[in-house]
Amino acid sequence: MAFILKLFKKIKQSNVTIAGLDNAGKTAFVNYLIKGTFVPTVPTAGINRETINLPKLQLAVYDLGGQEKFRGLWTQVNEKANGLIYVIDSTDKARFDLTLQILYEILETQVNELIPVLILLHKHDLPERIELEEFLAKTDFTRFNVKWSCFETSAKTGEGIIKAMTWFIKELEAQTQ
Amino acid sequence: MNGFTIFFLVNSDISVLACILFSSSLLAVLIRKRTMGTLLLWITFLSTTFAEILLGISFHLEALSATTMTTVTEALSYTSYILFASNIVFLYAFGNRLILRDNSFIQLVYFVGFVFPLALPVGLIFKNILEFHDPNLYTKVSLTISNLSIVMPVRSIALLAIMGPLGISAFLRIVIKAIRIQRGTKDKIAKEGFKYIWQGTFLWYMGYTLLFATLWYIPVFSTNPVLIVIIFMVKLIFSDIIGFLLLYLGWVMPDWLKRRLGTKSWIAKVYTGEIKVSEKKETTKSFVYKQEEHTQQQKTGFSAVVEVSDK
Ligand SMILES: Nc1nc2c(ncn2[C@@H]2O[C@H](COP(=O)(O)OP(=O)(O)OP(=O)(O)O)[C@@H](O)[C@H]2O)c(=O)[nH]1
Ligand SMILES: [Mg+2]
Repeated sequence: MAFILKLFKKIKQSNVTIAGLDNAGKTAFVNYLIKGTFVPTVPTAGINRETINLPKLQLAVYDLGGQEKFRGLWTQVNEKANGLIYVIDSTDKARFDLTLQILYEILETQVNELIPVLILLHKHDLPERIELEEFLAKTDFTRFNVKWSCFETSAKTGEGIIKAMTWFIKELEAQTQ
Repeated sequence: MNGFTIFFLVNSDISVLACILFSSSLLAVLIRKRTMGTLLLWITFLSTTFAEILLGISFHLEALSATTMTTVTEALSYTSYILFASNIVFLYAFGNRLILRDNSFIQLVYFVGFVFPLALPVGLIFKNILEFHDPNLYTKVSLTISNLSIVMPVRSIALLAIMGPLGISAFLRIVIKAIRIQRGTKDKIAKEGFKYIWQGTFLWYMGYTLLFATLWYIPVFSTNPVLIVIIFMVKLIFSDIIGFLLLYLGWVMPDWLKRRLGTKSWIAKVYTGEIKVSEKKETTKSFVYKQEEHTQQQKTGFSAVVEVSDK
């Protein structure tokens, strides 16, 4: 019932966390949202906070550092999240199981129920990527009570990003009305 | 040992059992999902459990040692009253995080208002244990037909003057606001959850307020055994059993309850989203999980749905 928390915020502001393994492309994704183009990045140390102003909503975006030593910081941020964006490097097949396991753990122990969860199969521009169907076949979210969706995106070409964010923002707005 | 003594012993044993049951169930939830709200509610449950255990031990000790109160039983029962009172702080913290969302100044006023009156008697207990029975601190509620007597902290009357208004205002504000939120919520499960939470808070507070208010302030209640028995029964049933049950259910919303409350969308969760290919030059695909729309026929699962992909 923790999800009721969100119902009282007459939210002008929504907290959004962006989690995922290191090198997944989280910071590149945020940069694309803010600048509208690909910007080279360095690995994030700790947590970056960015603010995005939308017509009806202000997004406080927490870009989490994905390296193992920073993952301990995630719990606190995720607990206050009104929405979660989970970035998966679709070319990193070796760590596919690990990233799923971490996502499951976040859904199970860190975030509130009923929040929108946007899963990004990122780096879609690269050829050696895993396809959406293959991803869905390997996952099971039935035990989590969240609104989730999965989009293929790329911060290099910008493909899929607008579509993904449209869904995500619509869900965020729906919970804030 | 007469009937009244046995009543108090059984009454407190049931309270202890109920409290242990609820706090351990909530602990299991807390371990699974470590959120602040659950932690605060669990602390409330836990300190009530301790209070009930201490009070229970003091009753049992007293019953065993026939008629006289020992310093130990007095201290035990006194401590348990302080724990009961301190629960107001924890329940306020829980209600504030979930419902009231007071600003930090108001929070500070509440916490100082709650904690100060609590800190005082804790010191006094130790002083009293050392100096033996100090009638300024304790008064015995003698139950005429029983060989038990209940220890009441006299000084707490002054303390309650501070705790009372704050506690009651916190409690009323939580209940009123929760009712308003419940009315304004469309989600059926959340609506039901709110209802349980405000009802649970209401019963929980009422049980204890009744206990303290009558025993401390209205003399007839501390001398008439029948009235005391009624008060303890009310406290057991409304605070320890129904109140806790409602708070637990409202906050945790176990799956079976969601299923009972909800429409069929809660019954079987299957993937019923569609994979869509983006418009025009984009080549990305997406999948949106739609929980509301599925029906029995769609239970085939998502492998069937994926075939929709390249429309
Ligand atoms: N081809 C391709 N490369 C990308 C894309 N997005 C990010 N990258 C590259 O992936 C690498 C990691 O990107 P970051 O955004 O820094 O990764 P991160 O998830 O923020 O990593 P941490 O901050 O360490 O958690 C960088 O070299 C980016 O250039 C993409 O869409 N396509
Ligand atoms: Mg980064």
